[in-house]
Amino acid sequence: MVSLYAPPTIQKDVATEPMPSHPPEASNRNFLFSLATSLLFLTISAAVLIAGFITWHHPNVLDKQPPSPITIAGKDLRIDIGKGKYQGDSLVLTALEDTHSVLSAPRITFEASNYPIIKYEIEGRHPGIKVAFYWRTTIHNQKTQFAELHWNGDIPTAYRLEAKDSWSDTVTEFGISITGDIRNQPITIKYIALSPPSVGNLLLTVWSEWNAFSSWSHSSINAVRGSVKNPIISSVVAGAIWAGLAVLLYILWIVFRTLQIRIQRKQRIPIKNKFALVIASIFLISWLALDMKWQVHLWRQLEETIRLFSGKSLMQKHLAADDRVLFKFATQVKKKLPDTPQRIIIVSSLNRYFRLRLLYHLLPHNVYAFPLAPTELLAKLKTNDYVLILGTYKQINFDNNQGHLQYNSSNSIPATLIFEALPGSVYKIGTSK
Amino acid sequence: MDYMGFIIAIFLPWVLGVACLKAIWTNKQEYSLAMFIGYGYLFGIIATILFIWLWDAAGFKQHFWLQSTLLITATAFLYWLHRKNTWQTTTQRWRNQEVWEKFLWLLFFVLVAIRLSAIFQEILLRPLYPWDAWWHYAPPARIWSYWQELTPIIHPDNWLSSGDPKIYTLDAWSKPLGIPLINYWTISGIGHWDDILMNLPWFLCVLALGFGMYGQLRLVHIAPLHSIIAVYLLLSMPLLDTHVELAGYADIWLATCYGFAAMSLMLWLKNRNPAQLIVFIILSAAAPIFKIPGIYWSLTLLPVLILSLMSNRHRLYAIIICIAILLAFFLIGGINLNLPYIGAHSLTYHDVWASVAKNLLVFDNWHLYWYLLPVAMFFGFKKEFRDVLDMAGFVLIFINLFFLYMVFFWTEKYIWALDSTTINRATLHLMPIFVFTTIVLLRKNNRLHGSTANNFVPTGTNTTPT
Repeated sequence: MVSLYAPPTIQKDVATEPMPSHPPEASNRNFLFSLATSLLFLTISAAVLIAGFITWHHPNVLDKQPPSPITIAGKDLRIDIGKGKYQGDSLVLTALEDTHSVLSAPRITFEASNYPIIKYEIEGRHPGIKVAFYWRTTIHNQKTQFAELHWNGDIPTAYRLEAKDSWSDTVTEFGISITGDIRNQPITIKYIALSPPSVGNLLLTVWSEWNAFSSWSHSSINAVRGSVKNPIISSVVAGAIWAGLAVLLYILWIVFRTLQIRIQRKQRIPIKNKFALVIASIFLISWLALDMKWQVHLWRQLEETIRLFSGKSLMQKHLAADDRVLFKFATQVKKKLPDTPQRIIIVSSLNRYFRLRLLYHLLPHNVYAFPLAPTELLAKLKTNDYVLILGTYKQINFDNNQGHLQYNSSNSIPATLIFEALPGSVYKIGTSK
Repeated sequence: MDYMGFIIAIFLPWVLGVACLKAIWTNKQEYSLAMFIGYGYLFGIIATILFIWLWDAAGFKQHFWLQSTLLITATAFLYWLHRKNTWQTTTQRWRNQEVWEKFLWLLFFVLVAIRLSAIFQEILLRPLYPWDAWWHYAPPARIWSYWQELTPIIHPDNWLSSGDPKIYTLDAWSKPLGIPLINYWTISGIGHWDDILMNLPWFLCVLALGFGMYGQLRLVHIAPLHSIIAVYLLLSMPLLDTHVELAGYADIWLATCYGFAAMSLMLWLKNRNPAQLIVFIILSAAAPIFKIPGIYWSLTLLPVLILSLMSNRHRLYAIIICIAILLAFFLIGGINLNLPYIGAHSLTYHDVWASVAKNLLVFDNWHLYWYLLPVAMFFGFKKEFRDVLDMAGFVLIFINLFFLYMVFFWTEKYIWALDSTTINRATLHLMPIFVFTTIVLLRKNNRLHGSTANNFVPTGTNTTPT
């Protein structure tokens, strides 16, 4: 029978067995030896993997003489849209025009396939702006192609253009496009370099893909990729292979040493003492390496968050957030409404995110934000309800002369315009003016 | 802002929860302060949620200061009632470790502290951000804090004909009340709407998770170093960190509640401490108040309980029967189920292996954990389940993986595996107990783990444990 309760007993393995002396595997000396062993095998594993990776990815990288990179210094870029100045070899962009800037490179034509990678060094970037490399080719002459460049901090970074299907044929025109909010912080473009495949470029590309930073998005809560979409190799897989190979090499070394000792008939070295420590150290060091990358990501994210929100009141923080337009609109609407909660129905053809987010900011007003057919809406509205038309909503319009919200000539309801501003308008249902 | 109210709203549940645990914990049983701290917070939150709900059900208007006074009185009474309880600390002393173990313990502790510090700052700066948080869980809190009562939130179809300004409609009409009530309680203490400070309980939840798991591992006699490593492994997982930084979702709460329930079950199977059984029952029953899937997760603990108590022969028969049923599914090619409350589900196979592998092994949701798990299960298997903890742990992992497999491979929820959404959030619910079990499976059986022996210290008072 199962006993739900057992009287407290001293566990035998705790109190009646003699206190063991320190087991040899746990001494300080053995720990240091195990740590050194694990670092050694991790280093060997890394060397083997990097060599193998380079050989596999670019088997001919050491064979033929690659073309020289096409390097465009910042001072050679022309500011087509935006404001800036030249400082030494760099271009310093100081302002965008209507959230946009275009910097074009001198006209050079080349075969895209010879330059699968673009390297660049851009300082002063932050997640508020997007930097893209654009180009045109002889085939896509009418349509400009774009590749959003990773942000990896103010250090040289690489991007794999060859991953883009449209990076092919003869390139006739290229440059840099910058969009977003510069936040009064100048951006310095030191250079862009279209680069041929090489060992250094490949490794820099892998490093850039692993450390590319993007700020929180609404999908962040669902998954953490750990690198860009479709990287050359995932950092997690690389970490697992690195640790796994190190463990395998260590085991092979142990087997080899054991056989050697047995053959030589020497006294057996107890290998179990350090085995678990070494394996655990290899695993933990690999985990720590991955975790350091994640910690750096969190620190960068925190920098961005501090930049956006630090030192501000709650209202100011909402006005700095990415839904500030909706928040500001909701605040204005609430000033026009009575203090007590009112029934409000939001109608919109926009993505439901906008309706729902506006509902959140209108609380504690009593808001309905579900999809509703126009006829049902007009039929269910009650006097003193409010209708908020967000964005454009062609099915219902307001007849200012009649003072009616109407779907068609036979479906209308008296209403008064209460408030109108981007991005919507608010009507009170009831007696028309 | 009402600072006193805010402090009470944040810390009163914690103090209350520890008092509840002290009341449950049988005299002279083993205990761990870390475990009390961790479990105490969750207990306190659950008790506070239930108290607010019962208060409303009794027809009273919500009143933060009156409710706080009653809770403080109850807390003081519980402490006084059990003031003479004494427990035993049987765990290895931190100070008896080797130098390198102490060094590493401090290293991992600092790493956890650095991580939590970044998370804490992010929470205190960013307004409520993730979708479900501002769509499902925050709006009821805002509504209730305005009306000072738990006004009904109804189906959208009924709202249009209602006309009552106190009756609202949100998607949350079908969601459990747990998270909105946590939000509501915090806002009540603050005194006005603040969707930044409202998120502080999420940070405390992950803090409690770390403490609770550390404490339970110590009660299994896992060495301090290995216990802090387990806490680090768990709290360093990127998706778990994300769920705390982008506070507002229910998943971290469900993960903590289910994880704690499962840990208590395993500890009871090992030690037969009746307090652990009571904790297991309470937390299993409480899991659904955070999220509906809590029902299913709690139900997975029943086969763990039953199988762990079976003899080896009966356990083998049970496993064979399960495998036979699974094979039957394959052969039949699927089956349609229509169950009460769960609804209609067509059990048809969907090949989503590539997507599942991508989410577990390629994305950085869990670092290298899913590469470690097979190793741990191999070690557990190799130990031949001589210890009931190994058996329970192995069964628990197997059953939960089987459950996930059925959901994502055999139901229409396979879509969530393909778009990398719910598959990771469902896996998050399992992470605390999985990490706990991994360390348990990797430990050496029937001997003390660590550099020095346990110092068994039967105490006459509540001494400070390791």
